[in-house]
Order: sequence, then C-alpha cells, then structure tokens
Amino acid sequence: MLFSSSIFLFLFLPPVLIIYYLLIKYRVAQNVFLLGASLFFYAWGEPKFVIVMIASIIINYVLGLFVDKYRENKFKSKLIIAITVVVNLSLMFIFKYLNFAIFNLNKAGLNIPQTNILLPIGISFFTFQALSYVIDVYRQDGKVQKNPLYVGLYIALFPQLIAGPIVRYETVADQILNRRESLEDFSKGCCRFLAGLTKKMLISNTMALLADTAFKMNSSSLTVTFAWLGAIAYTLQIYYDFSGYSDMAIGLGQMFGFKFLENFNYPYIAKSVSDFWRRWHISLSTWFRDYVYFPLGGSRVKSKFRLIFNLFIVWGLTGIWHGASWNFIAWGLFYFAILVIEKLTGFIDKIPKMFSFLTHIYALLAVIIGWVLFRAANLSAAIDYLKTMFGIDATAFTSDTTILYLKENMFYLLSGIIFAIPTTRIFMKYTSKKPILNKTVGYLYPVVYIILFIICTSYIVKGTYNPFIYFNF
Amino acid sequence: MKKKKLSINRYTTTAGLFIACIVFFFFANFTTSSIVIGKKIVASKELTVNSLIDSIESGYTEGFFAKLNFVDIYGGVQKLMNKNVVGDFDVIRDDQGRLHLGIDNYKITSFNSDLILEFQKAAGNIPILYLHTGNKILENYTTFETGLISNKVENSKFIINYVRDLGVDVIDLQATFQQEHADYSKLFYITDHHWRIETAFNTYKNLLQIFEDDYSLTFPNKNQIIDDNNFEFIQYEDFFLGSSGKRVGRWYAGMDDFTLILPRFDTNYTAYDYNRFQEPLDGSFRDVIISEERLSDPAIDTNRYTSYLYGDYAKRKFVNHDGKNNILIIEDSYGLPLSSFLSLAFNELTIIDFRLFKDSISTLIEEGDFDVILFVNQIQYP
Repeated sequence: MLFSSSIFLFLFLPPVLIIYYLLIKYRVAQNVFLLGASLFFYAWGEPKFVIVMIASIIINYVLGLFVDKYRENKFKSKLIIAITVVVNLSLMFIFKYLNFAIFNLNKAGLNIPQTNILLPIGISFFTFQALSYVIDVYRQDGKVQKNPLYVGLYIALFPQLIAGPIVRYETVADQILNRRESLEDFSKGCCRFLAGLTKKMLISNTMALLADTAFKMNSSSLTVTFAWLGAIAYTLQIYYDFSGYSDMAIGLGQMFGFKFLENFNYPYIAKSVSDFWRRWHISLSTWFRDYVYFPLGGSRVKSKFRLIFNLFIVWGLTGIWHGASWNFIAWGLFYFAILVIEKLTGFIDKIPKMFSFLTHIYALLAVIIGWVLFRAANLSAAIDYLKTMFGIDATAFTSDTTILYLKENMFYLLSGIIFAIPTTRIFMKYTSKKPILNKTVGYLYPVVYIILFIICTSYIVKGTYNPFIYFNF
Repeated sequence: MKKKKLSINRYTTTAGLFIACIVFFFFANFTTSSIVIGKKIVASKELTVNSLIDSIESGYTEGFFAKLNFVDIYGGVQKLMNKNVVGDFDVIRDDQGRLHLGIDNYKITSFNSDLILEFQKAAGNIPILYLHTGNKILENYTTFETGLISNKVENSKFIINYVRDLGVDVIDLQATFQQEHADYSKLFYITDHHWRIETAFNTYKNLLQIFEDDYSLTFPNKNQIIDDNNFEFIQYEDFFLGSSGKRVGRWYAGMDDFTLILPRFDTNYTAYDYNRFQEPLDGSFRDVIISEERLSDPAIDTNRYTSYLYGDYAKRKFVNHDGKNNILIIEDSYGLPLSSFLSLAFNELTIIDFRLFKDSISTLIEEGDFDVILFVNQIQYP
C-alpha cells in the first residue's frame, strides 16, 4: 500500500487513527492494534510476503533474547551476533541477490537455473531494522523485548516499513511503551505528512515523467541538452520522492506518538560529497557508519590503506544495498572513489571562501553523475548516457524536444529547485520576526496546506503517473 | 493523550481540516465505491486474495466520490500552468485550443490489407467504397507547440494511397473539407476526437450525391431527405464532455455544444438491434435510432455522441420502409451519426463493427443482398 494512494489515505488511515485513539488508555492494546494494522498494510501489496516479515520478526526476537541472556559470555554473545548477521543477510541475499549472483556465475561459465523468487517490498529496510534490534540489545543501547509483539511493532511499524527512514532500535526502544501523544505532535505530524505528500505527488511524479522519457530515449535521438534535463529531473525526482516518503513516515510516526530521526537535510546545498552524505538518507549512512564503518576502525586507523579498505567496504555495501545490479555497485564505488580523494587530499578545505560556490557546483555535479549511474537501466546504458551529457558521440546539441519539456515542466522544475534549498525555513524565520506577517502566514498556512492536499487528491483520483522508486531497495 | 490546554494554531487547524477531509471521504466513498468494487469482484474470473485486492483498489478509485470534480481540479491546475501536454501525453492541446488523445509521432510504413482483400473476394460485383473521415489534425490548419510532431496527416495519406492501389474507391474527407473551404474550427468537437454531428450530416448529403453519380443508385425521396429545412436542429449548449475532456476535466477543456439533428418528416423503421431490443422494434427514426437516455442523463460525463445508435455493437440492421437499396457499413464510432442519417435513404442498412464482429464475412455478404459496401475508417482488422 502506498501512502500516495486513495486506499491508504481514505480507507486505511481514517479507521486506524480513530481506533488507535479510542484505545488511548490502553497502551498494550494500542501497540497490538498498530502491529495488526502494520501487517495488514504490508500484506496489501503482496500477501504472501507477510510470512517473510513474520519469520524475520520471530527469528530476531529469539536472537535478541539469546544475546541478552548470554551477554556476559563473550564467545556466545559474539556467536549469536554472527548468527544474527548471517541469518538476516542470508534472507536478504535469497530474495534480493540470488538471481543476480546466478546471472553472473552463469556468465562466468556455470549453468545454474534462475529462480522465480520475487523481491519483497522494503526487505532492505526491515532487515536492517531487525539487525539493529539484536545489535542494539547486545550493545545495551536498548532493552530486550520479552514480548515478541513489540519486536514485531518495531520492525513492521507501517509508517517507516517500506521506504524508511531506517529507525534504529535505540531510537524507539523506550517509545514502544512510553511514548506520549499530544495534540501539538499530532498536528505537526499531519502537516509534515501533507508536506511529504505534496513533494511526492506534485514534484517527484512530474519529474519522473521527464526523467523516464530521457532515460528511455534511444541514444541516437538523445541530445546533450535533453540528457542534462533528464539527469536534473531525476536528481529532483529521487530527492522529492525519497524525502517526501520520509516526511510522510516521520509525520505518520508523530501522529501515533513516535519520534523518528530526520532522514534528509537539504542535501543539494552540500559543499562536498562528504557533506552530501551527511545530509542524504541520513538513517542509512549513520547505520553503515555505526554498524560497519566504526567497527572496522573508521577513519581512526593507522594506515591509509586500511582507511581506503574501510571506505571501500562501506561504499560497496551501500551500492549493493540499493539493488542487485552492477550500476548500483558502480554508483557505490563512484562515491568511494570521490570520498577517498576528498579525505586524502582535503582539497575542499583548501579552496578559498570566496570560491566556495565552486565546491557546491562540484558536489552537485558529482551527485548528478552519480544519479545517472543509479537510474540507467544498466551500466553500459549509464555510460552511453553520460557520454551524451558530455557531448561524446552525441547526435546533436539540442532539439525542440528539450524546449517542449522545459516549457511544459518549467513550474515544477523551478519549484523543485527552489524547495531543494531551505527557502521555507528562511521564509518562516523571517516572518516570525514580523508580527503582522506572522499572523497572516498563520491564517494562510492551513489554507495553503488544504489546497495542496486537494490538488494531490485530484492527482491521485485522476490516476496520474505514480511510480514507486523503492522496488529495488 | 497528554492532557494539555487546547491551543488552536496553524498546525492544529491544518490537522483538523485534514482529518475532517479524510474521514468525510472515508464515509462518502462507502456508498459510491462499494458498488463499483462489488461489480468488479463479481466480474473477476477467479476469487483470490490478489484479485480481491486488485478489485478493491481499482474500484475504490473508479467510484471515488465526486471523481469528476477532482478531475476538474486536476485539469484546472494544468491550465493554470499553461500546459499543452497533460500527463504522459494523455491529452494534447493544439494551438487552436482543441484537445487530442495523445499524438501520433510515428510513421506508418506498412498496412494490413487482409480485411479489404477478404471483402473484395466475397463482394464480387458489389462496389466497395472507403470513406476516410480524416481526423482532427487538419492539414494547413492544426498546429502544435514547438517539439510536438504529429504524423497523422502523412499516415492518413499513406493509408489512402495504399487502399486506392488495391482498387478500392476512396473518399478523402480531408480533401473534401479543403475543396469546400469548410470552417475547420467547426468540424470536430473540442473535447472529443469525433466529428460533430453537423459534419456527419453534411458528409451524409455528399455521400448520397456520390452514390447517385458514381454508383447509379437512385433515391426517389432524395430531395426531401437532404433538405435542411426538413430537419430539426436542436441545440444543447455546454452539453458534451468528450473522451479527451473527461481526462482533463471541465476547467481545462470546457464543454462542447451538441446539436441533435432529427428529420421533421414521417419515418417508418423496423430495427433489428438485439443488443437493445429483445424483438424487432417498429417505430420512427427517433424511436429506433436515438437514445433518449443519453440526452436526458444529467451526468456531465454522459457520452452524448452515442445518442445516435447508442454506441458500438457487433452487428445490427435497420429497415427503412420508405428507403431504397441496401448498404453494408463497416464502421467505428465515427460512423454512428453518419449511419443514422444514411438509414433515411436506404431500405436496409446493416452495420458491422469489426472490433466486436467475429462471424464470417462471406456469410454476411451472401445473406445481405447489398448494393454497396461502405467502410467508414475501419479498414483493417483491429
């Protein structure tokens, strides 16, 4: 079930909210109800995969109990952690990477038949959350749950289930039983949800049409300008799609009294690629930092070789986490290469302040190139696309198609660019200092949000293009 | 919930309105969507969990409360942004303000002549005539914004030449429109891909002349049945939202006026239209041809164009007891008003829609005793 669907907005969410708040005095009942609603939400997309989800919950619940019980025994506890990692990653491997592995082994000369295994939606997200549960219990960052339903609620909670943010167990361990709902939080959650819905429906989906046209275009008819337009459109699409979903997830969490950590912080204003990754998909990069990079030694290692090795592991894993395809691996390694250069040379810090705009341009350029690797159908298509962008083997510099798509999508393109920088934050800060303006904004705020909600609903009811970018994740 | 003094602010107001909206539509949709969902479940071939989910999802959106008003809002937003391409090329607006369903930017390079060859073989000496009604994209008139290329005119020419080379007579209405200096802005509906009823009526008059001049068919009452004074032109203002219009709503497309053209003179028909009537029905032109429901239905999205002949069906036959000669018409929806008017001239008029008709062509012709076979657009197997 997608947040941006009529079924979710008007059939699922109203009764779930009403029943949840009718049970306000019974926390246990609220939690059991939320778990049931979350499993129903997940089963709606593909009912049989709910079994995979339940299996993951039970296995990690048991492993959590064991790791807590044998905490004092270093060997046993480490063995349990090793089993946790192997079991969870095996589950992910079977559903996500097995066919990719078979395909590549067959290319190397073997003859293994491909399987018909489909990818359960959100498996990468809930597997990482499950891992986080057992590891955080081991590290004593969160208490072990005696009740399996609460482990289930943590792993399957529907707001963050299919597209994150990856909520760490330590973040919500206490909230499962001791969260506090308030009208203020609920209201802000609604507003956050509406902001996310607008991002997804109006900007991301419109940019998706443009990006899809460019990336599906035959390289013989793709011009330099249209290739750039398509790459920029995808840059905006993925940001508004992903951050829109995160906003909706955080907002929904707030509506039910949960507080999730932020997942995006205006990544396209980053001054370097390192800075970009501190702002983009924060829950994933911090997950890899805390559960992979730091345990490997992080940056505080004696040799440069070891640092490079650590970065290679983290970025290789980041790439493959996004999908079973060589272009995702290439995308991860592309960032590995850039980050190694940034870390070893420190050239970003050496650029004089008056030329700091150059670092923005550099970071944005790197990110756009990265998204081409990420979006293209395969690695060779990505290389062809990049060649066209830089005028190598391009049939023409520009064509009327670029003018048409620019004109037709100008409003959304400009909105996408304007709202990718903290304009709203600056505006709100400015108005807060002017009482009359602040009052006017206060009156207009609900009107604007409800108009945007009605427009989003019209797009949903009309059945406009509404792609789901996370099928690979 | 934590007990706190209730404070009304921008966030609580927004949340209140949002919750009110979703709860309202939760209940409103129960009545409108449940019927559609029920129909879809009944229609599904096998009942599995997945098919049930599919039925609920599609039925819920299809039967959404005030759906057309939401489409209006969607179209209004597109208009506000001055978009000529709506959605993924779902609807295109040309420079003259008329709407098109997508754009044919491909070039036809082949033609499946099986249908026409089969008819030529079965028809023997019965003359075959192909009426190419043209399309909404008119040569030297319709223009699009930079970057939009339509090959519809070129594709039409390709088909016409191909059919002519097969030895079939062709009437190219695009050429006729040009010769007659027709007012291009009034030939087609703005919100629909079909020609206006008036255009079909004028084509009917031209066709009767061609049948007389080139095919030696005589129509004793011709002067009566082509004289505008013998027809009633009933105007309905802002009455028709066509198939393009339904996709973008009224705020973008507006509404088309609709003209119902009816004979003033007495008519005497027997209709063999088993899709609509259990038994052969005797009556006037209005009784057997016109769908009063399509005219009186207050729903904005009612397809008024199918007020003539109700829409597309595999086969039907109309006997006009005052007419002469028999005609077989192979048509798509363009033919609905044209066939209706031609029924005023012919004794027996048989209409086939090959998208739905699956029987033998030779049997059809053997049983018909036709004087002429007319293809209206539908010249290839679907």
